[in-house]
Amino acid sequence: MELLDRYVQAVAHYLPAEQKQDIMRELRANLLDELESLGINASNQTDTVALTTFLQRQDHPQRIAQSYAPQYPLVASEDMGLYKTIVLKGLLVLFVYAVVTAGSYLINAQSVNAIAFLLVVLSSVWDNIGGMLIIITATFYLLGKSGYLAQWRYPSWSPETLPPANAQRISTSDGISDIMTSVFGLLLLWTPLWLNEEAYNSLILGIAPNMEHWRIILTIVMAGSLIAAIYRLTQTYWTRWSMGAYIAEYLIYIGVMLTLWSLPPLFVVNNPVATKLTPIIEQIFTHGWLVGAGIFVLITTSEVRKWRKL
Amino acid sequence: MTEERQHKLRLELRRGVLVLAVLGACKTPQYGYSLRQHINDAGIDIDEGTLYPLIRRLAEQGLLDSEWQKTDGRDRRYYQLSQMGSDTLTQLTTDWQDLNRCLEQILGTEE
Repeated sequence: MELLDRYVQAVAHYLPAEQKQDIMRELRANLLDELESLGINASNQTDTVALTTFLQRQDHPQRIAQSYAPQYPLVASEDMGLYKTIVLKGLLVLFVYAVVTAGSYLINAQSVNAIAFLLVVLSSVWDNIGGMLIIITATFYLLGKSGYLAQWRYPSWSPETLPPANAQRISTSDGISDIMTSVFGLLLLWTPLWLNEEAYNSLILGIAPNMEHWRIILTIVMAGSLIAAIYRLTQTYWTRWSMGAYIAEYLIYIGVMLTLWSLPPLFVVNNPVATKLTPIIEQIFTHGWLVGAGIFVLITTSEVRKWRKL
Repeated sequence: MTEERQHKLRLELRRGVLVLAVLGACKTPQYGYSLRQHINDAGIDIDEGTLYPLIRRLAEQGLLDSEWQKTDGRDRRYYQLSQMGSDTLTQLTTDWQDLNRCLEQILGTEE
């Protein structure tokens, strides 16, 4: 009998508390009936081998418990689509929070280090992603178990609202890198506003005094890019209008780069310690604007091809 | 087709029928083992790991009433069709017969 009780107890270990006693009682009664039909006396020591074989033939205690009292999964398979969507949107919120955190970090640290900016973004996302997943999963478990999720599982739809057959998805990772580039670019442009005098004077480069108006022009361009990138993150598919605006954005950048290439240097060496770098930096920027414009022309050509297919 | 896949298909085919068989067998009071014997004797092979949890599920859904009784010095839970179970059995039996007729037509086994 001891072996039988051990088996029943092992099953009970995996049962929910509120059903434990009832299922144990019933399982024990069923097993005793099965043993009796096989002529095995669970109390008889001589039948121990037969009892062992019989119990071995039953399933693993955990599986028996699962069949008597099925556990509700953390996320039901029919809720996975909704779960993925919520996780993705949560990630985007985390990312926006991380960019803000990284911006404030640079301001507090009085630094314009791009690598530090990137690392703060990544570590902020990494620090919060676990908590976010736990909260979303726990919410799905509780709402799913109580039956509330069924109404949100498949939102109302009609064939007319489905994306066109030739629809192209907007890349989330491209949107994220666009936002990061714009925020970092704006921070760089406005270093005089947030860097203290000592940190500002130690910077090697600064905007040339005769090109100060370009700070405003570039700010307008980058702020426009930032708003457009945030808008794109809220959209799933490209439309002719949104991709047209994206191409226009590239064309503006090409125009700006070609203009800057033809003008006197935008950036000059400010720090007297680094004046010997001036010719090198001038060379880098003279060719840099042209190379940048060339790369953007290639990207724009590829985007125009996609736009024509829409 | 592999033997394992064929076995799975047969299990899927039988799954729905088992509910009908259990409800039909519970017109008279049955405890777990007696129910299994009853169904096995009718020619439907069902193992205890499938049957016993199924009876509990049907009882939880209100299709079976259950009661603990002491018989032959042993505690046993007896199950019997509830009023809701009886109505469901009538409906499922009609559905089964209709389905069977349709399948006979499709499979070409109708005489």
